[in-house]
Amino acid sequence: MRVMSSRPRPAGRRIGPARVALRTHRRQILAWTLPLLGLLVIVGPSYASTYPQLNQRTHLIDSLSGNVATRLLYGPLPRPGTIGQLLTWEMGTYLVIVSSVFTLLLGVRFGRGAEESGAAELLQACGHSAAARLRGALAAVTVVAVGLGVGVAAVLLAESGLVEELTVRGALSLGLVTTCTGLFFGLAGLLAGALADSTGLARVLGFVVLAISFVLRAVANVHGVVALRWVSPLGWIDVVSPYTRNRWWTGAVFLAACVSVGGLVWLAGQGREYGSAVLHERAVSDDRLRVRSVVALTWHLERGRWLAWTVGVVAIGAFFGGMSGNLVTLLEGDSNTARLMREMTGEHRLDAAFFSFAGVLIGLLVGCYAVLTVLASGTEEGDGLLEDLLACGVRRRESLSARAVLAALGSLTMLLAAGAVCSLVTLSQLHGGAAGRGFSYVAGQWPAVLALTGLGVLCVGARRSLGVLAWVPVAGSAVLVLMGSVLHAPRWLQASAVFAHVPDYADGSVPSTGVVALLGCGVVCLLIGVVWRGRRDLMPE
Amino acid sequence: MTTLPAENPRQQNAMAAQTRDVVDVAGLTKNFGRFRAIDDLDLRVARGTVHGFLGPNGAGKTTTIRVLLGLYRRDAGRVRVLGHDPATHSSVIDRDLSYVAGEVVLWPSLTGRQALDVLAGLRRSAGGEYDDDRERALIEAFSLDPSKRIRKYSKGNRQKVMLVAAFAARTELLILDEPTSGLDPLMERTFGDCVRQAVADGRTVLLSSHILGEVERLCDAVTIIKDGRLVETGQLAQMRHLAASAISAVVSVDSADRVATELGAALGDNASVSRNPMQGNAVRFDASVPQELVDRVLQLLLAAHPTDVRCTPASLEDLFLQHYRIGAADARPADTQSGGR
Repeated sequence: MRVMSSRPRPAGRRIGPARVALRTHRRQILAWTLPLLGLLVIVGPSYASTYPQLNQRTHLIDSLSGNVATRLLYGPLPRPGTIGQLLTWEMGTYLVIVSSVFTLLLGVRFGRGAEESGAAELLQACGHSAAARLRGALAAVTVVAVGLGVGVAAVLLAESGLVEELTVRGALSLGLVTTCTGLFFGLAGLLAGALADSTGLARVLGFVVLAISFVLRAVANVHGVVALRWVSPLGWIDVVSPYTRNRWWTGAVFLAACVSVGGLVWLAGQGREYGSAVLHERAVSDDRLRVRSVVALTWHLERGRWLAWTVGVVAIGAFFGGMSGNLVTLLEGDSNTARLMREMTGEHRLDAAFFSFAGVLIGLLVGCYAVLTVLASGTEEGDGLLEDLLACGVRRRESLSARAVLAALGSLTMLLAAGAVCSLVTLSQLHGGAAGRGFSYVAGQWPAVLALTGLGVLCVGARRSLGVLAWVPVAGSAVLVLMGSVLHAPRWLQASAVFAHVPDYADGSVPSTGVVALLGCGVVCLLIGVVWRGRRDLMPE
Repeated sequence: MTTLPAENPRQQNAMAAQTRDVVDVAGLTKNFGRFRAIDDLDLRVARGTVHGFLGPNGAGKTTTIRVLLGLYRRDAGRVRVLGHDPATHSSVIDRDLSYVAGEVVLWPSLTGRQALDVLAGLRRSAGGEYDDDRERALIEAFSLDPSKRIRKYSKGNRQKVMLVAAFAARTELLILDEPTSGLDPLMERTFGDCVRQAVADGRTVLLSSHILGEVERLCDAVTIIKDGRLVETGQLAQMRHLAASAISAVVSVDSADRVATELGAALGDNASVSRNPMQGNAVRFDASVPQELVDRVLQLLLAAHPTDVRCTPASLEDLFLQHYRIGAADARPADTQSGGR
């Protein structure tokens, strides 16, 4: 027997609840913030290289400002259209929405999630009272929101030396509003966790607040109701107006709003019994569940997630359909953007290039859904749920096969629905086969998604811990297909991106070798992964 | 002798169960990388018995069970469960086997009722059988509220769901890994009744447990393992008989030194004697005495005119602790060596 030599710990080292919360969620925090900041790093210089002169953006700005779909999502594009204004208008919108979702989920995890998992009890057993735990959760949410804002400001400050139109005041303003919005939704997550009796219900409550916020901002954008931007935390970015008006003092008002929400969190937490809640989900049911196969069980468990993804993907399809008219007009009058779009997609026709681009983005999203669905089989294996199934006489391969079937068929229906909606909306914008093109470029991404599904099955089938590698082809393909031409990557490398193989079916093209290769790769990897899972040790935690 | 081919795997299982041990493991070895979790283990569970599977934490009980279920592949040895090799026929075995894991995890969004529906439906679709009437009776016996969602269940209630599903399934073999660690004493009694009923129905139970009283009450035979190796196996009654007995005697202070010296001489290296002063000029000696020395020790104690003498056969706890102490004593010099490096 071997005795582990242990180094003496430094005396007096203190670890508080906030540090525990941050440390136990560090992977999620990094997984959300690093890609977001990475995207921010490339957006500014990309604009600057594509549109170095202000007059080159005039047509782009006019076209984007006149489109209802873009106005609804991004708001009015400030004039004259500096790089900073373009960055705030597009990337700033993504930034506040994504950071809101991220901090909301984290707030729920820090509050109700800690009680559900037993982490809060553990802290209590180490002498941290309910009040101390609550203070820790508030501090942790604040650290994340401030950290994100500082990161955004730091990236943009660094780029202000490279891109003349990116100002220091603009960078600080965007960092400030990111912090305010993130903090608000993080605290909203904590409040929802204090009110709801489960993380699921708390998330639903939080997303209702987020959805109301989004709708208020959309109404403000379309109808120009300025007051609604003050009410909606997602509209705060328009009030602060980074790189335009830089009204950083409004941040004080928003921080005061956050302090108020923090006060509500404190009030809701004071005197609350451990695990108690005001709002309860339907915890009791006499419903029966007659399933006789793992596929049926998996569908029952996953249908809610599939529906949520489908609604989101279809909405994006409708958004692209709604933008198609203006954007094709824009491309016809803007040689820079048209050249970039053609290089990126490899399509000569401008409507084909636009729909190809839309198909890539939708395919990327659906690919993420498929990979998440397949990787959930690895989570089942780790949690021990697979043992329950096997103890009923279910074959070792069935669980992973069921996940693969759900990922393949679920993504197919998602792409068909998004393509159909995109096509229908396009009918009101463009004529002459554009609607069919919209459908075929979106639905045509299914072979790519099947290939990603197969690779995911192969990874998790080989070993549960290898599941994370399934994200490599997703991320690699996204970078190659979106940035490959800008980065002057070799043709063969760009062709290795799974999303780069959708021919113009509406033009009468037939499936290319790439499509056949993707289908073959998907099926072969899927079969190998499933067989591999059947032969190796299953590794519960 | 001529063996007629069975028509289907279920008949094969039935034939196997009638003709040989339900679990037959010989020389099982399982490695995880360079770590040897199970080392040359033998385990036999006779049909229609309750077999206790004991060992300290990390001894390899759960690993062995996972090999029996076909979750892990063995590196060496021979494993037969219901006459089949779990490495190649796990689904055939699992159809006639009920399993309750040590840490029960179920689908949190389902109710207990729905989880039972899923477990029953999957078993039926795999060709197994499930008794709905028995399930209803078991839900009542375990006082389980099946209308609640799993995420609202305590550990004990999650275990109850799996126990109901395990006992309601018409299976040949039940493998229960620490099945009562979350149950209250009343439910432990109900669990004992279920085990006895299962054996009365001709089923076989492999019970891994840390609750030695429970094992002692329910099991016909036990296997004790430590560090992945077999320590002792056999019929519980026979093992008790062969093991050390606990002898306790109260003698006067005047004769205590003499008694201590004689006990030390009689027991030699095996001496496990404690000396406890008592009120009224008396001393109580407690000794763990090997079976072959019981007669001699009793004679020397009686010669000291004790006011009280008790001799009890070894309990399962004594057996277990005896092996655990021996293992710990064996390990100590190695620990010291390693620590000194």
